[in-house]
Amino acid sequence: MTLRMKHVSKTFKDGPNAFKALNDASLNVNRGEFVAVIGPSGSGKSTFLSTAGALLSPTSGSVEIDGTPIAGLRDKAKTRLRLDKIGFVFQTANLIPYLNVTDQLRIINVMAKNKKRTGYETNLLNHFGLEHRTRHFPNELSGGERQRVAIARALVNEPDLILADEPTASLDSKRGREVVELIASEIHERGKAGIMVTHDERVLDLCDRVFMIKDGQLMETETIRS
Amino acid sequence: MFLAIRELLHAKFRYILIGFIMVLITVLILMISGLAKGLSADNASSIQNLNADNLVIESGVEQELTKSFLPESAVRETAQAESVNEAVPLVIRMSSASVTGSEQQHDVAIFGTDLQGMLTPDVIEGTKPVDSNEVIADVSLQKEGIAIGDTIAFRGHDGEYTVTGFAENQRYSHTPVIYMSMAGEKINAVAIQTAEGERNGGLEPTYDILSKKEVLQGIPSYSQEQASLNMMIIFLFVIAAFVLAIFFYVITMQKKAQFGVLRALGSQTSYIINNLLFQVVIISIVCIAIAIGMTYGIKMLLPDDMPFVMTAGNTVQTSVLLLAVSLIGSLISLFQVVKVDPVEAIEGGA
Repeated sequence: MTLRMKHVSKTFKDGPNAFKALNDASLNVNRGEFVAVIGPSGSGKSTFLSTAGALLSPTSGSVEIDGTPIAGLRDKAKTRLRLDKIGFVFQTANLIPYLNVTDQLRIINVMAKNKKRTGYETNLLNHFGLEHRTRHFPNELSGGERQRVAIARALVNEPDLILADEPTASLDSKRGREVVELIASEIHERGKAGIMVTHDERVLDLCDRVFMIKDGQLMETETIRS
Repeated sequence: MFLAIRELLHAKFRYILIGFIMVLITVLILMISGLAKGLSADNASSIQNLNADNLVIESGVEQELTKSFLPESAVRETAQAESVNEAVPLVIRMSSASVTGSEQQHDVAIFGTDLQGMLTPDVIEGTKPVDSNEVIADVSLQKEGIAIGDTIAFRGHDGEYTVTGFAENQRYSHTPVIYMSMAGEKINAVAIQTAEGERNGGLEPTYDILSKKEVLQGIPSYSQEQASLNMMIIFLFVIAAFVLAIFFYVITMQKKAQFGVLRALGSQTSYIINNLLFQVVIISIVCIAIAIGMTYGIKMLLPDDMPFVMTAGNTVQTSVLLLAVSLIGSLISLFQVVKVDPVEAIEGGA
């Protein structure tokens, strides 16, 4: 089991009131499994993803990533966990503007002080059809290319868990679907656990399971594909 | 320093702009401190280089050498004190000199002492005086046309004197110093060489005993001159710190979202901080190096008699201080980096 969330709640202080962004959410994601979480804005999607991605510690309940409980971890250890075990794909690609495509991937391995993966970066870029773009900067790429670089970046640390935050948001429906197809195929082929938060219902057929989040509560909807 | 270098290269223009400002400020600091050093030497190099540990003067004259008057017997009296190794008289008179047969007057400061004593400076040209009508002059008088062997007369002084040698760095109150023998006059001070660790040498409290530093402060205009220049230098340091601080603060604010992404991707705060500090250090070092080169170039263009002194020690000290000031200036940016929350990478666009 790569991600195991048990009765996770997350409460934020909102002035004098407490606001429960996540309420008793439980979810297990296995290797090779791609899970979608949908819900209206403000429903707790971001909090859910941040908690699953070791960016936030839950107020109660437990989160385990590849067998490591994140509850007791210090910030530094959580950061290291993200670097080693998690790949993020953000809403707007969020590439570093002054790094060219190759360096977008290299920075991850530089931070991880992992020199062994040097060839892996090139392989990934070739695999994603970006070999002719390696020297280009993000502002010289199309939206789809940027998102492909972001997916390659999410894979370069060979993570166990891939988290995607509305990866189709800045793309038209055709490009968006291609991107999600790509994420899904990588997750299935490489045996990663994947979660995608989205409100784009047209790509849900590419996911193995679909969850709905509403007012902080997570529920599995009827399985669309299986 | 993967990120730092790539960003510097990618955003060349903005870093060149800030570098340009830094270079100008640094040149200004180096120029003014060169001028401060130069003026200080011009005003008091004879005192700074005086071969004495302390000066004994009349008490209650507020360190002003030229206001102090002692009887000549004070030299003998001082010499008898236990820890005083050597004591010689010092008389300072402002005067003007003219070479025999010439109308031209040269402003000079006469340092009267026992020319066989310790105060007589080493000559860089010519010989040390033997007779009482022979004198040593500061080498700057050579540029004013006085040569070895010339006989000169001083206004307000009887007799004619022969210049036998020139000494270096002997200026007082922005005029060249002439060392001559003086006997039977009231003296301004007794210069003493004391045994190690002894300051007053067991002297009577009727005298004030001043270090050379204290004497410098007593030279009219010396401390005012230095204080105003030093204030400019301090202000420039503060300005440099603020310019860099604001620049990096604004840039860091702009990059906060980026840092959030990096943090989410697994970058430790220390990694980002190191990259930021590296940028500050690189920019500072490059700017300081360029500024030192420019200042040397300007120095070459300055007229010879301009009081401008640029020493390696002073330059290194200024450079190190500037680097330190730049790093201090970047502290507020570091606080911004520490506050970056990786959660914003996900919530930022939601």
